[in-house]
Amino acid sequence: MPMHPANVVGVGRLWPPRALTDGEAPDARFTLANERTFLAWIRTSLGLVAAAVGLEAFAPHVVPEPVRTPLVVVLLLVAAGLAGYAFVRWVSVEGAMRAGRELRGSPATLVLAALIVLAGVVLAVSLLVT
Amino acid sequence: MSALSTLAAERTQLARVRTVVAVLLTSAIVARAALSSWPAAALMCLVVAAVAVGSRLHRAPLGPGRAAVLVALVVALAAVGLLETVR
Repeated sequence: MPMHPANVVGVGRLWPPRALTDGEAPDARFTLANERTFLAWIRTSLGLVAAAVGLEAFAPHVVPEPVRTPLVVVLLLVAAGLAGYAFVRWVSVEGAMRAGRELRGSPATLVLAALIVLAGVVLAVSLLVT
Repeated sequence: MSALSTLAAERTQLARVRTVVAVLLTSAIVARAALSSWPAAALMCLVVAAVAVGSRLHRAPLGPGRAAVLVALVVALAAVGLLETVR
């Protein structure tokens, strides 16, 4: 059976992701909603970056360094991870819609909520102690 | 195009613009924080802001290339903040 060029490793396989080209194009409104969700994740990541840098640079005397530095590092790492996750999620949702598969929930929302609660508790406790 | 599609496209356009503005604001915050201790980082933030505007992220459609550029900009800002913190 002849192999389609797109199925050969290295020929149109990795980029653009096949999930964005295979199957049938969904309704434009769904594609636009998927893009807005991607952009919302990106803005959330940017918010985490801004919060972390602001905490480190503009509030050095409010939170003691042993608490502040790990918190800032975790926030920045999660921000970078979320940005990558947003891309993977965008491609995955687009692929699911093109293939007519059911959409899965996003586990990152739970991680994000847990991180924000943790950061809030750590900041509140450190503020009360200092 | 139906009214629903038109409105969805408009919402998406506004979301793109908001995202570019967020990139610019975050770049400014990171640059301001790093300016006194590490001027090269501030320059890096300027590059990020220039790429955000120059790559025309606010234009439709957002393909995988532009999406990857956007992710790279966020990761670059997080990396600058991380290096600034652990230096």
